[in-house]
Amino acid sequence: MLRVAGRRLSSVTSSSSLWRPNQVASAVVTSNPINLDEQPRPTRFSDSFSFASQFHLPFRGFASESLTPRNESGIIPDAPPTVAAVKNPTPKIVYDEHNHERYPPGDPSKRAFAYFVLTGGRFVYASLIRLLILKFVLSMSASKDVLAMASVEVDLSGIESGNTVTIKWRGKPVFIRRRTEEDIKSANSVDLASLRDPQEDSERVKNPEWLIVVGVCTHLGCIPLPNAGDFGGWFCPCHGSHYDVSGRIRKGPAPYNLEVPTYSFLDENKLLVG
Amino acid sequence: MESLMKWLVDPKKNWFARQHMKTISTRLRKYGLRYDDLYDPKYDLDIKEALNRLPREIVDARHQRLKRAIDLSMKHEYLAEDLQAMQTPFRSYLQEMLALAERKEMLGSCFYPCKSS
Repeated sequence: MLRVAGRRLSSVTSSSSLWRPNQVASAVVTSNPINLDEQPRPTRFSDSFSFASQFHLPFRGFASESLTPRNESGIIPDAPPTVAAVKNPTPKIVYDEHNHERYPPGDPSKRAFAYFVLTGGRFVYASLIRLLILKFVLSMSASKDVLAMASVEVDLSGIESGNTVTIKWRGKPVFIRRRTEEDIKSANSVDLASLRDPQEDSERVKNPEWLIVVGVCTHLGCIPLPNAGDFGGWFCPCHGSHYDVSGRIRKGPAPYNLEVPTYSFLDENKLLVG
Repeated sequence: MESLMKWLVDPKKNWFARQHMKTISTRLRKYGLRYDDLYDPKYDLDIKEALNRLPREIVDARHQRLKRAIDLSMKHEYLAEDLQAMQTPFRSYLQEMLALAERKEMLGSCFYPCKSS
C-alpha cells in the first residue's frame, strides 16, 4: 500500500499541477510562529526566545502510520502523511495486526461463530442468574425442621370404639374417631340430596371404622366439639354448625364438610397423617 | 555543594546519571515520546500557560506524539524499531517557555490573563 500510494502520489504531482504540496505546507508552516503569536505584545520574548531556528517541526505524523507509510513521503517531502493519505485513497488498507490478525480479503465473516461463543457465555450467565434467584427464593420457603413436622404418626391401638382422639397436625387439630357399627350405618343411610355438600361416606374414609377429619369448622375456623350436636358427630359452638359422624355439614352456617387430610394406614394400628 | 550537585546530575561525568538517562531514553523511545510530553498541563498552570504560548505546530506535534503513545499503550505494543531509532526523547521544546512562565509568575507580573483587565 505504501508503494502504491507513493507511486500514485508522484504520478499525480508530475502529470498535473492539480495538487501541489506547498498548498498544504504553507498552511502548516509559518515562518516565525512565535512572533505571529506575540504581535500584540511585541517586547515580551524578544530577548529570551528565539524559537524558530531550533524547532524542528515534525511533519511526519507518526500516529497515522497505519494509513500512510513513513518511507513514501520522501517523494514529496513536504506532504504530511495524513494529507497524502487523504489525497490518495487506496483499496489496499493496512491495519495493525499486532494482536488481531485479519482474515484474508474475500473471506466470509465469522459472525455466527462469534454469536455462538457469546451464546455459550449467556448460557452460563442465565444459569447463574437462575441459580441465584432460586437460592434466594427457596431460602424463604419452608425449612427442614418445618418439613420434619409435616407428618404425624399415630398409634391407633389405644382408641376404643366410639371414641374420638384429637392430635395436633400442622398446627391444627385432627379428629380421629373409631366409629361403631351404628355410626357407619347412620352415616351411610343419609340421603345425599338433603346435604349441603353432598359426599358419600365412602369418599371420605379409607377404612369405614376410622374417620379422620381436620378439626376446623369450615365456617370461620372454630374447633367443633366432638360427640355433640344433633347428629351425633361434631358441633361447632361458635355459630352452631352441626356435623354428622362422617364430618358432613348438616345444620348451621358452615358451607362445606369437615376437611379430610391426606393420610394412609402404615399397618394395622399405625396411621400416618400428612 | 553547587558543583557537586552539577556533577551528580551530569550524564557525561556521572556513570549513574548516564544510566538513568539511558533508561529514561529507552522508555521514552519505546512509546515515541519526548520528555517534555510528560508535562501535564492540568498538573501545573504554568505548563498550561507555556503550552498556550508555544506555536501551534509544536503543540500539535506534541498532541500527535501523545496520541500515538496512548494508542500504543492501549494496543500493548511498542513503536517499531526503526522509528525508535529515529526518536529524540530529550529534544526539549517546553523547558524555556516553562522557565519563563515560572519566572514571570514569581515576579508577580501578569503572565496569566489578569482578572482585573
